[in-house]
Amino acid sequence: MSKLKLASYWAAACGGCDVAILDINEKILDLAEVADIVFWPVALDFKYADVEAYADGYIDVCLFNGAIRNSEGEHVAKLLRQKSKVLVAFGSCAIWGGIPGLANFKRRDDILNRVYIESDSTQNPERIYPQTKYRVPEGELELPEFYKDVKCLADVVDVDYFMPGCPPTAAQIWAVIQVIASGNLPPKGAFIGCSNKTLCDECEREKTGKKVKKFYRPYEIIVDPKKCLLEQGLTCMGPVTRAGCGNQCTSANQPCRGCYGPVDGVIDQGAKYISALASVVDAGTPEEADRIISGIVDPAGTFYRYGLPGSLLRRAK
Amino acid sequence: MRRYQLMKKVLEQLGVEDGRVRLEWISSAEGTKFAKVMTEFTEQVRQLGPFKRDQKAAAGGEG
Repeated sequence: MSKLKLASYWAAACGGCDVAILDINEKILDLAEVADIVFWPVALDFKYADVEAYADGYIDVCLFNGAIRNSEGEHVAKLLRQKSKVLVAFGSCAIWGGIPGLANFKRRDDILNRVYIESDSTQNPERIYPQTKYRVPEGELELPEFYKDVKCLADVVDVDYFMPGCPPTAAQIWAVIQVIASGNLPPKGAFIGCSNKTLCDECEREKTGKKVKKFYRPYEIIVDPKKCLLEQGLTCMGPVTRAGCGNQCTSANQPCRGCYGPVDGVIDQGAKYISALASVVDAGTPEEADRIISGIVDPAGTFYRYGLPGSLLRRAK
Repeated sequence: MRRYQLMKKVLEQLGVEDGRVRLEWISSAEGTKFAKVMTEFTEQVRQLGPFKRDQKAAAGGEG
């Protein structure tokens, strides 16, 4: 069997997904045994022109991380779709917009104004904004267009598989690479490298059904290492988040932040969490409930931390 | 009720203002009340019109 041709790309991402691939450590040598890497901007010196020169479907598997923030991301997504037999939305940004997707709480103009005019470290009295085209004596320069909304990969191209996580864990990445190398692919559209249970289902902390009188941020309390974090008043997303990460955060006494997204059948993780969280509020009157709920700092940003562009509303209206 | 209170806070952050969401309990025997609430609420949302931020964003160009 000829070696697999593997590609990886980062669009609007932090680089953590690429680091996660490198976190398979010495197994990267085993990866090189079964696969040739034909495009990986963060680690190897390939250019877009190299990809353009490949025949359609030349790449066997492309692991695409990052959200679609600008026209460059969309352009490369379409190029890699054309050149790849299997396209994987790799990591929470590619699937639901992830952390960069939080920008959908703001309008494009607000963002550009903040960055190029308002920020304390900026001096821009002529109010110069980046232009998509600019003429200089040597010719015309181009910059990608900054979109109005952050989009998910599946908003711009057809996606074969979804691998969640911020980032996907190294153990899951290695398991998925082995599945891909074996040729035993799951049905199209499947979520891979994860479970279909919730994190809560896999959590070993003790649950007693205790309700909550006050919510805390993680730095405000010293948590009991044995008891359910939600019952201790932390906004743990475990009840509505897909398992598969190995419960890394909850094992370190930190609440689940929801990066593996919702389980199959749940359309909107944040809405699901509103329901789950409200049910643990211990209030006798609406006024008391309001007081307790008001203790949650930035509920929308917390509940949609990894998935605003992929949620029902997609952005703040 | 607690779900509704929490949802309202989330929707507010998402730019869906107070007047666009309303919770009422109406029994199947209260047809008149149902009609009244629905008419009132429809008119209220019509008065609010489309989401304002979106209009402004559209004026700034499509993405």
